[in-house]
Amino acid sequence: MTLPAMLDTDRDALRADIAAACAKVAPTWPLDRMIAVNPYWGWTSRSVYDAAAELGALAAAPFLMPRRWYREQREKGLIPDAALQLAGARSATSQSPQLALAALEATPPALPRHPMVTAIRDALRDPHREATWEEHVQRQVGQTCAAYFDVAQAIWQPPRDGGLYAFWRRLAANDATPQLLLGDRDVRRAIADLPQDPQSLIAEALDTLSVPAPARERYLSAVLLHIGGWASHAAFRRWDARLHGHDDASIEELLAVRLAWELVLYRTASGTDVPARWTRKRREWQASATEVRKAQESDWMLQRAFELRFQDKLGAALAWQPAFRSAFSGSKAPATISAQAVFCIDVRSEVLRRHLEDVAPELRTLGFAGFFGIPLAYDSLNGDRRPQLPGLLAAAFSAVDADAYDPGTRADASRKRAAEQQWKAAATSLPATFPVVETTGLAAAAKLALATIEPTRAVGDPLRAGRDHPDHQSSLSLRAADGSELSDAARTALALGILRGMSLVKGYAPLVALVGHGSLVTNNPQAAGLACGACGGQSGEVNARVAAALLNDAAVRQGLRDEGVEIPLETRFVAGVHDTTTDDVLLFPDAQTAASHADDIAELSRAFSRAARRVRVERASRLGELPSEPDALAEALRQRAADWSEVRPEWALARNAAFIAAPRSRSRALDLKGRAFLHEYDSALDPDGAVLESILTAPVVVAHWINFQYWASTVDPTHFGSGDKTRHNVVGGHLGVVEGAGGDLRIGLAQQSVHDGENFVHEPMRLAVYVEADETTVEAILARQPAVRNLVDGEWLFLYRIDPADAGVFLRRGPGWELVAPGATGSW
Amino acid sequence: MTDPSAAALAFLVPLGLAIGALVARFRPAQAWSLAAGFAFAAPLLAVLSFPALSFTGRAMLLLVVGIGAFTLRFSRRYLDGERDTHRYVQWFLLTLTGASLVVTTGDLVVLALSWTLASLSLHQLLTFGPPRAGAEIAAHKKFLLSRVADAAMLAAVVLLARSYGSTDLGFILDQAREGITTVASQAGVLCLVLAVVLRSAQLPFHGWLIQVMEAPTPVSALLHAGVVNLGAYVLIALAPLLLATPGALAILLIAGLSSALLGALASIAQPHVKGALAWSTCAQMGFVLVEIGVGAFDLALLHVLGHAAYKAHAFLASGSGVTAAAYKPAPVRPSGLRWMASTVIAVAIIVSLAPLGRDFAAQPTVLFGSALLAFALVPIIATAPLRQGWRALTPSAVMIVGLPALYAGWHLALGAVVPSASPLAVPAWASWTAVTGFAALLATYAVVTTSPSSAMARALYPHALAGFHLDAVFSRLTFLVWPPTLTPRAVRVAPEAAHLRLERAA
Repeated sequence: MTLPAMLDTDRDALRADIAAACAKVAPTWPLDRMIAVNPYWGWTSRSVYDAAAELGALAAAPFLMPRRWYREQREKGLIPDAALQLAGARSATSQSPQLALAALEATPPALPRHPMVTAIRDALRDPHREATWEEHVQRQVGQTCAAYFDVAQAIWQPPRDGGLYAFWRRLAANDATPQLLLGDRDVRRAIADLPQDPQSLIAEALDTLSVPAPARERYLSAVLLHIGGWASHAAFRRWDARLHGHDDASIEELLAVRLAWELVLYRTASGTDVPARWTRKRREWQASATEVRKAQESDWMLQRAFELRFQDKLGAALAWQPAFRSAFSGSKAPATISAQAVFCIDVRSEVLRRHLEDVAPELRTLGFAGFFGIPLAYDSLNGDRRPQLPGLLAAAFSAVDADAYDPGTRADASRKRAAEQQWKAAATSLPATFPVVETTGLAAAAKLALATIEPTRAVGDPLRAGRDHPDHQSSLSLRAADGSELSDAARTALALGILRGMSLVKGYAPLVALVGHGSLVTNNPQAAGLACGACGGQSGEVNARVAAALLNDAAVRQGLRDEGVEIPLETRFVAGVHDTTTDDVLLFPDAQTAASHADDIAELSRAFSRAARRVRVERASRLGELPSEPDALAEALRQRAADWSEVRPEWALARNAAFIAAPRSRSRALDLKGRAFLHEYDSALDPDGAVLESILTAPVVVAHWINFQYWASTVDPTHFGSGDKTRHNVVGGHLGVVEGAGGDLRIGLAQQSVHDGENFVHEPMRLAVYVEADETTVEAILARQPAVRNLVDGEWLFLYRIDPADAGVFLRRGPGWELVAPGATGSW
Repeated sequence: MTDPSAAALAFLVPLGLAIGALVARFRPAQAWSLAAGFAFAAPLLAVLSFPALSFTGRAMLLLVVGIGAFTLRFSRRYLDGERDTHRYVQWFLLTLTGASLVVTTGDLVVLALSWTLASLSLHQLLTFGPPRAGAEIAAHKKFLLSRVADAAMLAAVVLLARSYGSTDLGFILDQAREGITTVASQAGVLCLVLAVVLRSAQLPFHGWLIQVMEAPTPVSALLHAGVVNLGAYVLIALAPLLLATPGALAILLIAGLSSALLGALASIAQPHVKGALAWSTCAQMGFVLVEIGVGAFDLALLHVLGHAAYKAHAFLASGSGVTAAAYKPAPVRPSGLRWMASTVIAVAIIVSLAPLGRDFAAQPTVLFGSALLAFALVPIIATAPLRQGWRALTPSAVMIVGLPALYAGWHLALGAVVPSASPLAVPAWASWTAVTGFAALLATYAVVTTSPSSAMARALYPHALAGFHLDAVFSRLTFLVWPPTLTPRAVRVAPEAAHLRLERAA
């Protein structure tokens, strides 16, 4: 790209501004891989307070709950005076708790908004008698992006040569709507006269609008926030491309598109007072933007007090020595262990683990990232390939379904899909669609009736044909990402990493279950958001089965022995999957384990079903009207999962608030109410801190992403929530949803995922991360990992350290650690 | 229908539904359980009222209450957590009351009034829930069009009643069958045709249909499956009047054909699932009017039924298929030669079947039907996988054999109960116009899907995507003539606009 009339330094500076504005936009994964993302991720190099103030100033984006909500929490006793005092003491500002309480009764000042030419032109129009430019531009840009990025919905696929900006120019130059709807004849000509190249357009626009260099990045950020949904999709394309060693510039092109509208509407209003207003509004905005941070201080203090009440209680509970606690509560853990069950760190596992340990005290449970440490792509029977790993990683392995099948079965699978595809394509082709609808449309009446009267079962994984294979227990084979065979050494290294990662290198029970999780629901475009985020929004079944097979492999066991990890011969690993809508747990033992450990497996299954009965009762209280009798409740939940009209099959990770990396004994017998991510971690086994470092850089970041996905969808649903599920309209087949007929892509969680119609079910709380490790190890990791340190120092999350020696709990604040709960061993 | 007690049976369903609506209104707590009960009782009542109804009336009544029952049942969990859902139930049942009255009544005045009742009740559903500017503007546009349609319908009622001295449809139709018409009655029929075109979302009065998915999904399902096709029903039921009015069929043919062709092209360009479904409704309704325009009343009825079931399901299930879409294989792109060869083969297949259709060219509906079938087979033949062995060809073969067989089968079965127009009543040019139109559609489809980079496809695409800009003029006129009163809190597309409004108000 060329920027002709500019000096090299100017050009570089502009490029840097564009890159900086684009880097602020966090990626959003498509619906079929809808994993949680902190939508403020691009802002995390600054503190959460800076980010809140800046987003408030740029887009009037609220970062905190409305005052009314804090008032309610105060009335409920959830913001007590003590917590407020503490928040005041720990706050870096001069704000006092009294001022915060006074603010509770006051209306906060309205947030400013970076001026836009579209809005200024609308100010000259009567929105009751005329359509507005804001609406038109949003709809037009949204439609352009939808058409450009869609490769699955539209049958008529347009050529996309030249990129998004060129595509937009072709559409806009042929669009009569500005003239017909908005009565402006000059716009089309102005569009035709725009530069052909997106970077030149950006330079020309900033020049014409006389935005000075220091103000450029903020203006560009504001422009991107105006089409934030599609910008985050473009950011995903860049993220994904870079993960695989390419790049993608569509986010910069999108910036050019939205900026082109600014330029065009500025130029076509040359005879009016729009230029004067533009200058004045920008000056006024600059003045008001500096006020935002101050105005938010009271809200932050209320928010911090709300968080502290929770964190203080949790910290105090964790400071109790486990032995002391079990003596106090009267429960004793038996010395022999019948089985170990490893679950995903997901907050939903906590509920199941707690009840499982209750009904079967001889069981041990552990927490580990639900992809079981194997970043893999799943190769399905019909040849489709799906990533099953956290969004931060690229696939290093593949799990191949096809190996266990003869060529005939494989051919059948692809043929079956081809036939479905052919039928669909023929039925929607023109003009065949007319007679096809006419002659076969009535068959849909039967489908309507069946879906309504007899919702038999939730839709399983459409790619997992292999699950029906008679020998499905061992049908998946693990290979390198390129499909080549893995050496024994490579497989041993992988297995060793998994066992160390979950702090399970000794003390094996005869049976070790690796339980992934998934969520079987029906007709829910955001279903992947309910599944395992560590598995890229899929069921963790594939990963769990691959991991179990790996750890049962004789050659791998031998290799592990050479590394000093001795797994007893009688210990067998078994994969399982926890369906979080129904709390049914399914185990997949391989043939050998099924034969040799039949009793252990039967016993474990019984424990799971007894625990599940209690889990369902606990969950049911938030799920609306459900029967109380356990069997009826289980049946009702299964029916809800299969119900195609269900918008709230489960609450997924709502109310998440804490992350604990410690031995389970630290948290066992605590009722964490499904609010904590639990990662097994034993610092005694990790002298160099390598395991802790990987926990802090991967699972904690993923949990933080989840935590802020829920946060942002709750506090700012306009920008970062996907609105009302009942109005969702899937775009591009799987790219995302819009609300209603069109407009910007809606990202984040739907209102139905955080709100029950009466109240918010999710309470926004920054993640409190508790790690049981000594100070030097944690500090060394923070020094090595700037991204994690930014999150801690910027108070995007709070890092607590549980001292392994005396269980004292410390909060990292500024450069040091503050004791918040003394170890409770001696003083009692 | 002369026996009064039998005639009263016809009102069982509307009566039951109206009671249900009242219950929902006054006993909010029981709205869902009682209303759902009524909705499920309605199909039974519908069967009970069969003796009082014609075949067309029976089929339509079952359709309306069936779609209504399934959609209402769907709404219960779907709208969980929304406020005032008893109002939703109330207006839903009242919409069904109106729709079921339209398809059961034998009186012209009742028909007009119940149609308006359905329209007004639906309006409440379109703006149900928290205020949304998009929903309000779309509903407002529909409101205006429906009131114009009401006026047209009122004129039709007055003119027909004065001409025939009665509002009894049975009587009027008997007269019309005997060829008794006046200038006034013919003007009345033309007013009726206008009302139907306005209410069937035909171009350029279609904009609201595309935009009403601002309302919850089941409202779209109800609208697209149970309400928008009432116009087509009225035309089929009043066929003798249409046949007795020169120009009526021609108007329907032209209006329907333009909507079918342009709507179909817009539909295949849409990147949003509900947008594609809505444009398809516009096209399919146009197609029904074309069928009526060529006198194929039996096929038109079948199309209304089939489309309603298909579209209700498609809307309600529009949240499915995300994974399938993510792994959708690249479409097959046949060469130009293959398209031409396929056309020859398709025409040959249909022509070889012609002897079964006896005096083929003389019957306009057969000409239209056969030509359409031939065109329909072309893309199926063109995209059949030829190089993957015979087993891969099975689906295509099933479709190539099945489609004509089903088509002929339905025609035979329905032709007996819903007679088509006699060939003499419909000018031959009507069928030829329709055939030419669909041939052009096939050619365009072949070009835009096979070579989207060609000059023609490039030129056409922006317009198809934007729905040929036909709604823009209408929207602007709406804003100028009778602007919508938006709820002050209504969220406009961009939050900024709301912000500005507040600024100005202050």
